[in-house]
Amino acid sequence: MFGGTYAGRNVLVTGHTGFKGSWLVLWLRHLGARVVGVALDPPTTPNHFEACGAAGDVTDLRVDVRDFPGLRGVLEAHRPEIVFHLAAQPLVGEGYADPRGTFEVNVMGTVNVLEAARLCPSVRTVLVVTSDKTYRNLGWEWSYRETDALGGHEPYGGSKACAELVTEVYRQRSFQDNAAAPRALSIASARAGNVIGGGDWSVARIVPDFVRAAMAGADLTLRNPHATRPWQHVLDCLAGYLQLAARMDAAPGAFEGAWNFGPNEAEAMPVEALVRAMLALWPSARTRVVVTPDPPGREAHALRVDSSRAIHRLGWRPCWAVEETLRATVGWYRAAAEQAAGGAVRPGAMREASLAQITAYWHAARAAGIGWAQ
Amino acid sequence: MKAHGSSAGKWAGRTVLVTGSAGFLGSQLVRALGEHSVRVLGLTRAGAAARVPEPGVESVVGDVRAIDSLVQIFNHHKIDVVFHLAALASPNRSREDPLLAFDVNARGTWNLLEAARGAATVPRMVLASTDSVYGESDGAPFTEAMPVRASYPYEASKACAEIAAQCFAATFGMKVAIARFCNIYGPGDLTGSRLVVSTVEAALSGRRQVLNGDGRAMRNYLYVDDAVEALMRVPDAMGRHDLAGTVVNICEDTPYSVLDVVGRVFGQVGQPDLAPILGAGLPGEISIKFASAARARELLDWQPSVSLDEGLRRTIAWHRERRAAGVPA
Repeated sequence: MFGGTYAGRNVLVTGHTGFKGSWLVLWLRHLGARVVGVALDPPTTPNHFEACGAAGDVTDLRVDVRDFPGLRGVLEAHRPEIVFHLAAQPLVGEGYADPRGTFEVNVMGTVNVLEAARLCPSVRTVLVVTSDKTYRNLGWEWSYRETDALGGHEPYGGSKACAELVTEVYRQRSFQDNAAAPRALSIASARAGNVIGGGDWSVARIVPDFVRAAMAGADLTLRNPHATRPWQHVLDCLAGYLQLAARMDAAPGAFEGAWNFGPNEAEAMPVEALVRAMLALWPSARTRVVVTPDPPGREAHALRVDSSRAIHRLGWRPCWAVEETLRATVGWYRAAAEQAAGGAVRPGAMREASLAQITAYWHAARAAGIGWAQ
Repeated sequence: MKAHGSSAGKWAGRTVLVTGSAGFLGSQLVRALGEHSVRVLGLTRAGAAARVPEPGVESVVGDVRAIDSLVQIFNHHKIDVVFHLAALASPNRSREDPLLAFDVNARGTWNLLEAARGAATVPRMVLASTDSVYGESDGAPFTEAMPVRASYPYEASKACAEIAAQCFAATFGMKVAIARFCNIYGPGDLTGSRLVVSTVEAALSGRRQVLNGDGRAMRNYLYVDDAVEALMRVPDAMGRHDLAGTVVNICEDTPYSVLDVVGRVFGQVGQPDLAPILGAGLPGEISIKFASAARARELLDWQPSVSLDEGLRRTIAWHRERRAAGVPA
């Protein structure tokens, strides 16, 4: 997998206690990497990080990415070669509630990570994870390409557009060579969105909202039932990140810039259809779907990214169709629900469930002939 | 050229907060505001309080990087208008210390936006930005609809400030407009890294000007009084137009080469034969950079009133007076 890049390598993951970050840690450990994580405490209770006991897989450090001296100290002490920057305030709704905090974490956090990486001689490759919401949403029906204009109109999207600008500065050879401490790094950004999978318990996201309702036997209110989103499994997206960083590591300078990682066009599905498909996979749930439309204008509608660049240049493409994505996602939560309902949580059960999904995903990708999986 | 109308007469009784009030543009702005019976609050960092404020300016202690200090200011004063001029304005310094550039320019802006958003009466705001966010031109003038192409810390930090302002405008309905300035020059500027300042000083000293590049870089230049007049027109224009989140270029439409500007200064000083020494280009320097002021003409009913030759004449006179008074350069 990934050309054997990660075996025995020192890898830093920021945001490793988050949903994506904890899956990434498991996968990196599975690949034989030594992983250092910097993050705040897990953002929700429960959470994938603790459910999987991922703290045992990583040098688990509680450092805020807004704390540059703290961050720099971690890099100097652990000397990572590859950095995945995932730490962020990841919720659109929270951006409305706390715009300053959202800009602070997502922009200054990125500045701090890139500056600390630039000053740390061991670092060769940095992948900054932003979002599909970094694009200026023009409301058109075409997918957005990496060359399209940036500029989210709300704080979350805006902060991610800023993170892209910061990344572009640090990527520039002209800046790197003329900075106070010149040093060349391979730097890229990854743009994905609507990522789902087991272990996400964020507030105001459709899958965790559904899971909470299903576990409680409660009704589920849909805010945007007809909003069509390109749903993507977390492993589809992480495979892209891992392959991109592996290619950057193998050929410094050749794979920089921005990269979209989205699902196939056919995987887009309205929110209500997604929920009904999950209900069908969880027959014991007594949840009823209640539609209460939000006032228009809150979230951007129907933004899709065009992943042609990644597909043609990286040896990556989406693997799981939406049916497999939902089967894996609901399967993970049902296993977690059964553990919780039994009262006696079997240590390691959810870790095994996550690792089994990583293995299943790899087998599926290999069978599909996808480059990174061979 | 004549200024259309005037910003006078609409300011009396207002309270205005100016960040960066001790800077080149800020000090000229507060002086102009002072002529209109405006209560001017100048944001001053605690350590910088020793500097004598402009007459008529009330110092309010705070720092754009410390939101609590800004919140206190908005709690204690009913502020009608904010001109946000505080910035780390040196591209070179920003390259050397990117953390500081983003901290002051980007973080300072969303701190100010958030503090203003929490005020009992949310003020109108003008964010001073730079046409450097456009990056390199293909020869056509920059217009506000063009995407930003910032590739250095200073430019990117200002672009981030703009994005934050646009998000606060779109999300919370804040009346914040963005003024993208070209190179501003005039009396009061002592920043030796700026072309007009260093050229005037060289000419008055009888030295040849030493240029970083070949002198063919094209820029537009705006006399500081015209910049102040444009700034002062923005808050009232917000009453006539929906300018929330809107970018407006504030500039002279005509670009001049560096060699042309140097030649004009040395000509006015009476040293036309003192040719500049040319050098290699600075990394990342933009060779062609000039913006269109069409939107400013339309929305602000403004256009520059001081020609380059007249502006240089006044600037040279100011530097001469300083020298005659024995003020060190």
